[in-house]
Amino acid sequence: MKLILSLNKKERLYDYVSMGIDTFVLGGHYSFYAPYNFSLEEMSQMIEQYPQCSFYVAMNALYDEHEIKDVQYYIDKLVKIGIKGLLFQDFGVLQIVKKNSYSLDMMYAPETLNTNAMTLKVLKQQGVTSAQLARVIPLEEQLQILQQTDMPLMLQVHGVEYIAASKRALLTNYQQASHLQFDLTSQTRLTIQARNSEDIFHIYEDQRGTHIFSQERLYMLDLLNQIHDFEYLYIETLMMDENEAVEVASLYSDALKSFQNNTYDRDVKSYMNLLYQLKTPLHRGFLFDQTVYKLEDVRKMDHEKSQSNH
Amino acid sequence: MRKVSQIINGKRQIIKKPELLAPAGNLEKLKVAIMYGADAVFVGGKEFSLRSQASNFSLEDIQEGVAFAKEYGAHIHVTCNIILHQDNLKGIQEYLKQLDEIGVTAIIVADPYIMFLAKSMNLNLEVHVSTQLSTLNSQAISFYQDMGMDRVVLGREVTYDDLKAIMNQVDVDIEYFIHGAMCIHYSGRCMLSNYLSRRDANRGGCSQSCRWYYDLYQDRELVNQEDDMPFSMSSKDMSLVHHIGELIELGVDSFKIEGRMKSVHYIATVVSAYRKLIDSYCEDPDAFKQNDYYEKELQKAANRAFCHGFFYDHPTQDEQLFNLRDEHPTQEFVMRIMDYDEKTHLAQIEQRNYFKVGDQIEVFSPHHENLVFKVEKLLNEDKERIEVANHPMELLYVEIPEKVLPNDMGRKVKQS
Repeated sequence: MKLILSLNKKERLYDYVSMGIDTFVLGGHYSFYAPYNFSLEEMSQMIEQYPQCSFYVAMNALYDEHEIKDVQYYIDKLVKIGIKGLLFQDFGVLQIVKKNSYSLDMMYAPETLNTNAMTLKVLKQQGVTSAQLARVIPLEEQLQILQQTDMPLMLQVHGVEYIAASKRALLTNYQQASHLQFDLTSQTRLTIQARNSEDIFHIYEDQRGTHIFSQERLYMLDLLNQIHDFEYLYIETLMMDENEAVEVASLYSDALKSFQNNTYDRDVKSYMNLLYQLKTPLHRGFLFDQTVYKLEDVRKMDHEKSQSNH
Repeated sequence: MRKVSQIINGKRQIIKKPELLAPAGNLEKLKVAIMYGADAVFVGGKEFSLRSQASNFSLEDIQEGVAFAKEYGAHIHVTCNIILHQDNLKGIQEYLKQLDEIGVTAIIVADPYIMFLAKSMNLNLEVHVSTQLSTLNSQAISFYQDMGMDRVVLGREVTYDDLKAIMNQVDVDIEYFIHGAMCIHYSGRCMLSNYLSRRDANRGGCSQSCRWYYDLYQDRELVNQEDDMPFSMSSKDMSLVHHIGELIELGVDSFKIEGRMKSVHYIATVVSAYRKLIDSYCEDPDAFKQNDYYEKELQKAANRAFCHGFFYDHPTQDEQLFNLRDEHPTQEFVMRIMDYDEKTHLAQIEQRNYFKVGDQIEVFSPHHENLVFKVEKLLNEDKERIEVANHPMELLYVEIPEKVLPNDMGRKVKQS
């Protein structure tokens, strides 16, 4: 069990390393989304400066045919500067790495698709070496997958949750259709709320399209007793300012140390109090909830709900 | 470059005609799709299929569909395109084996575990990579090819230029959407429904939350005030009716029409229009002239405005629906012809929607030109005169001056 964190500011790398965190995900030119996109030069500098650390790069977009050659060229550059691996969701990325026999940890991170152990076993045969589990399945299922899979798995333990992404410029299109003025590129200023729903989502647009994330941060600071067998516990720092990211990383880092020292059960309350003091919206996502398989199940659920209301 | 045409008797002719692949939500629609010209039909089973609903096909239904398709030289593809969760793992092998024994031509799959199973079981059926995997480039296609996949259904985000480049590089079958509703987000990567409705989009429960109305806030201040247009993420439906020739020339193997939930009228109208269009182009591609006949036909069953999707490039606001969903079929499906007596000019019909004496009806068919008549004589099952037809599925008789054929369909001409 170790922490892995999406790096949002190069200058805070020292702080994270001081906490004992040594594995990072870097955003780059071909990232689908990332708290910050580093240049190859910046990545190279960090790798040289922190040889004890492992750096993954988020190559987690779905790539169009017209850019796939450039993607290939970029991966070659990443290999040369010495990154540890790639987070990817496009099997084209895996195919490029396989064809070129690059020695990279290929972490399959398709946001929504890693929902059972058998699929991961098949993908291991195809060259996937580690994977990030989907967030839309209950913790119980995540643990089942962990037990039945023989590759390192990553679990997002903290941060905003991916909801959806479109190749379309949905905010630009809306702005042009409505003639309303708003800032469509800031990652954090805009939110949407479906009418008749309480859920609020962040929405922003960039050159890759439109991205929707939860406003609330998923948290698992108090669940280390259940999740300690996962190889990587991931902190998503997207939409956090640098202080929040450092505070959160520090809390999880301390909690991990406490777990290793067998004092976690005693300390967890105080960690949680510190987390609450950050005053960021927190939620459990689907950890103790579940989606339904068929429409019949929805109807059954609605029926049960209405029966319980009577 | 794929060879799609050659000179025969001094005239260039298309030698690689694409498959026209139509959707069907039940057996009636399956049969209509084939009768109206589909080369293949894709259907969903009771399990492992998106749009998993009670009305989906049982194995017996699929068996009947396969037998029917064989009579017409057509094929049945079955969608097994859910993303499996731990509790969905049981029963797949047996299901695939049964589909294979029934004689299904292909399964459409999104989960690599099902891909692996289908290939390792040495089944006869083909395995097609679902659009749920949003495949956009030749490297990803090459990955699936290495896994033994027989066909890749491309993501709807693939532009014409990218498609052209892909077709020049890959030698696996490629399927491309030509008509129907579009996911506004990357397929398989949208969790809006999961979060807003607790309905799993990747397991057949999508609540189409993208088409809902939203309020937009900036720094917690409402941007769209009461009189402003609400924010929405609803796409117009795609129609590439004006680009079929270009797609045929690229050698695309299969043209897919979306819409397993659509009506029998929709299926018949859309399949018929594309069947005629493809045949017309292939017969003499160099003399083919695009006209608006086919688009007008398609609009008769459309319930949303059309757009080109990503065919040219990024869709603009013109390809989205904001205020109104524009759901107004221009013509209403009112009857299906069951039989026709050439002596009395009486057609036995199965009534579908309300119509009355005096209404103008357009009859369309895979076998003849459209014809329009005015309802002058309408009889009930006992051949007594009536004025209105208002009981769906009732057998009635209507006088039609010109000869019509069983399974022709009639739609009410909207009075201007």
